[in-house]
Amino acid sequence: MSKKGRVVGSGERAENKRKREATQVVSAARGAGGGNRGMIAGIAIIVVLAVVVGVGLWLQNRNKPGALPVAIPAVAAGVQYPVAAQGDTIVTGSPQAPVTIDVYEDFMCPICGQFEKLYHQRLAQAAADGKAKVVYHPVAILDELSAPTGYSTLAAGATYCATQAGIFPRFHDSLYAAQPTEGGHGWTTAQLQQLGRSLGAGPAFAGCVQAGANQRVATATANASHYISGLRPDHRFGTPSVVVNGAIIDISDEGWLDQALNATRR
Amino acid sequence: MARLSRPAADALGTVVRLGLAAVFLTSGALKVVDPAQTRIAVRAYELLPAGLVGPVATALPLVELILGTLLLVGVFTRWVALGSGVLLLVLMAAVAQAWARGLSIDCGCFGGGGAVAKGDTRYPQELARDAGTWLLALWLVVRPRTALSVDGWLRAEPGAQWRTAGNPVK
Repeated sequence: MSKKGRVVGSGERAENKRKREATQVVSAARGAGGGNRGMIAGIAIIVVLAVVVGVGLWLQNRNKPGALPVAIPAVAAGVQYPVAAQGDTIVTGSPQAPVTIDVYEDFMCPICGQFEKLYHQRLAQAAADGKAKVVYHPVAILDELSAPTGYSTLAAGATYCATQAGIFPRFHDSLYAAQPTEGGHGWTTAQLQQLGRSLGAGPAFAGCVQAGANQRVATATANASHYISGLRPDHRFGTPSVVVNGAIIDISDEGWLDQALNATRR
Repeated sequence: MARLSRPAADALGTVVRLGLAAVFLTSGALKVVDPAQTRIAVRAYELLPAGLVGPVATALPLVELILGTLLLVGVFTRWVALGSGVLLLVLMAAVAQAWARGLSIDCGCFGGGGAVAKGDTRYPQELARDAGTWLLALWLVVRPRTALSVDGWLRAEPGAQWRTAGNPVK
């Protein structure tokens, strides 16, 4: 690698050029010689990449869920509490209860599923005992996470129908107990209708679910988003959101429900 | 600073190349086997419109696997490393904006991802790891010559024209 300050004369330069040309002639004469490896490498790389992409696409598509084959299992009846439709919400428990707990949920949201698992019995008990008015706000913000899209809206709309039909508690709890996975198939209209029938809904229920409530759910979602983002310091809206007596609650603090219920005893 | 001899630098470059390949192959494979989770991870950054989440979640792991494969065999090393570096910068920018905006997400860099509890974010560690990986890519952009590579095999061909491609013969 020594770079001596050597002056290359024009004669030497011409000599070098002749040598280069000679090399090229030799390699051209060899025919298959120059560029052969490039061709081999090019083809091999294209084949390998095609295999990598092919296997990748296959892996991504292998578990594309088919329609869920079974009926939605209906959960057993729990404690009884008053249920009333009010606007875009479902009000449970006594309107005169000392604490109002607003719950904003999307039926597709896994954390809402966990929230329900952790708290739905105690919320139902509080509503039944008259300790709390628990207001459910079904919203749809995860519509694109089901295939086909739209399960959040479909399920939220069906909840209104279930409330009308007098089966809200078990319908709502059943959908969370058998929550579809994110990115997978949601329950279909027919399966929601079937669940309603098995819970004793009247004949109007199926038609109500069929008709859907897209506009109502969209409006409820927009209102909820506006309200919740106004309460939060970061101005964001997500599910589940819980509001106790008008104040947003951090539900990662597991004592929130005890605090909410005890605050009134003081 | 002491300069490495060429064989030593080539060997170190090989380790760097294979390391970067391992990173991309691992991250791509972990994402590709769980497409639903990858969608959730991409969506959690709250950067893309709903219609683009799916395509990006599909393409990102494939791009990572392609980069990983090209690095593994060592072909077009400089350009592949350049692409890797650009991709890593984009991913780091996405993580940084999530941190800056106060989102509570896991980066999903090696599978997983999506929303996490407020106290469970690991932005500094994720960014440090990505920056380390980026340095590997930077090495290969500056000095793409490595041993055990297709590039080297092409370079060694008798009468080949390849020697000028990013690897000037000294």
